[in-house]
Amino acid sequence: MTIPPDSSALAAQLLAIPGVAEIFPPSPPIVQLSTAAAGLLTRSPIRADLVEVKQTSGGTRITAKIAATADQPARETGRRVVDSLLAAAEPGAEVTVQIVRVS
Amino acid sequence: MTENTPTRLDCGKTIEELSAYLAADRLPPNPDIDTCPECLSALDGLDHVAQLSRDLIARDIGRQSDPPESWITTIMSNIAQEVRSGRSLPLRHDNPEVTLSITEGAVRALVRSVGDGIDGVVIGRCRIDGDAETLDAPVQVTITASILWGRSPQDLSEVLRGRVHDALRQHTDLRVAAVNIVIDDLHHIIAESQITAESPIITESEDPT
Repeated sequence: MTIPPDSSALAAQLLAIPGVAEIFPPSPPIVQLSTAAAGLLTRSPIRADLVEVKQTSGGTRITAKIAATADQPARETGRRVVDSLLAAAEPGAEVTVQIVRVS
Repeated sequence: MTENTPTRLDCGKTIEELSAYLAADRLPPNPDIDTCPECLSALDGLDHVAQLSRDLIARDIGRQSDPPESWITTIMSNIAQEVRSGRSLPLRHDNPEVTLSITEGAVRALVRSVGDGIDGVVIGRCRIDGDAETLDAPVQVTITASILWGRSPQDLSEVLRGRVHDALRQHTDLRVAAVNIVIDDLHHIIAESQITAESPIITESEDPT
């Protein structure tokens, strides 16, 4: 059985990609509260819910919402993010990346 | 601002809350705002409006009253509407298991940022018309702007159109058939009454090609 990628590790990985300014939680604020509380307990420097990793009957589903920097083409940044997530996930994983801000 | 003015973002924050946060130099830090893309884009727009308002007051001391409140209010209301996520505009990727997109709100905020960065231009509104959710479907972008009194509407329109075209080409996969510019206001030393009574509306449409 394949181990699903770790959300915190994925977030750190994405933040290291040129053109990625920020990652925003894909879940609504109410869901973030519990995760934030857990992050406080573990003193984790990166919030665990920034990149959503879900196991479904069809396989792994990864979702990320990012801000791209304006000094690089946002669409290329988006593709780099997708490729990075695909490389970290098992084959056939479903990846959704949305650019929600260009700053 | 009237009761009907839509100033609440999809995340629930209001333009008034964000203005107050901006006025307090974003202190104390509010994680709800600082981790919300809509709020951050709205803050960018509001920051520009606040700076513009200060500039106009500084230039017009001794000659003119404060910039028309209704004008500023309209821009703030437009900012609240435009930063909403809106549609998901697809970006190309070869892998069919991938969904890559940019929000309409991000694109409108980008257009506003590009326009507001041009000296003498203040963006009023930005609209994307067409089936923007389908790759390769032609879309038209219509921008309403105010220009500084004394500047050439034609010249500024051309600069604005060129920079918006470049930004959309650089950051999105939209097939932009036209960028239409509507200059519907003049700012600086014109009194509010003159703006509504005398200022012509200049529309510059680009032929879709």
